[in-house]
Amino acid sequence: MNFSSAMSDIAFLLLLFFLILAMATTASSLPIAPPHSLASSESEDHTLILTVDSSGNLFYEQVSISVDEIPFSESVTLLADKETPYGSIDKVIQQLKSSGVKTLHCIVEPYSE
Amino acid sequence: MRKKYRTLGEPSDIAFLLIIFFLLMVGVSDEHVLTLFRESEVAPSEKIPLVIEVQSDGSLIKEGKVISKEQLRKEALNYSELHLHISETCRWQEVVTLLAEVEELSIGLSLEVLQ
Repeated sequence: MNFSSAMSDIAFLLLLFFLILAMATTASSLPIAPPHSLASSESEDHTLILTVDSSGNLFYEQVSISVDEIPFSESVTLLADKETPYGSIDKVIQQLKSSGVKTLHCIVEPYSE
Repeated sequence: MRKKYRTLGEPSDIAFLLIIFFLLMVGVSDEHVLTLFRESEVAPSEKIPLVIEVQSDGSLIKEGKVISKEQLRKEALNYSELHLHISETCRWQEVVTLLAEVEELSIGLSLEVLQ
């Protein structure tokens, strides 16, 4: 029996599985450079993710939306470019607060050691 | 006749190395977050807010005086709420750097535009 052939088949199947899993993680096609931070915590699951680019445009699931079109969620995570002026982000924050969002996080990149 | 076998490297070894590589890539993709606002655990009547202005260059002003981020961290220990009034043109990176300083304090946090 040719065990090496069977093992390599299993290995390639596992490889394909983890390739697909890696691609399925949150990936944005928008050119966003998140800000760096010394402190951070792990993100929660089941949170709505909004993206704001450096020009202040708001995106949800890669689609441009206005602040009035933000879907409701009690927990929201914001991904904003580090060069975005705060005024653009504040519009989103105030809209989320008025809609009853209880927790708002922002995505950061830890400083590499 | 003798057949000559050439070993170019076992495909299974290469496959396992690639699996380990992508496993590591999946691990690296975990997201890190900071809290932008959260509800304070202190009753509204007992809230003592610390109001800080954040200028466009990221400098901090408390009651008309410039303070450092370290001073802010020490000051915030005496309050149950932190209100940040941030300039519209302040870069998001400056705001995040400030939020990282107070992330571990677990006090109520509120952000708004500086009027």
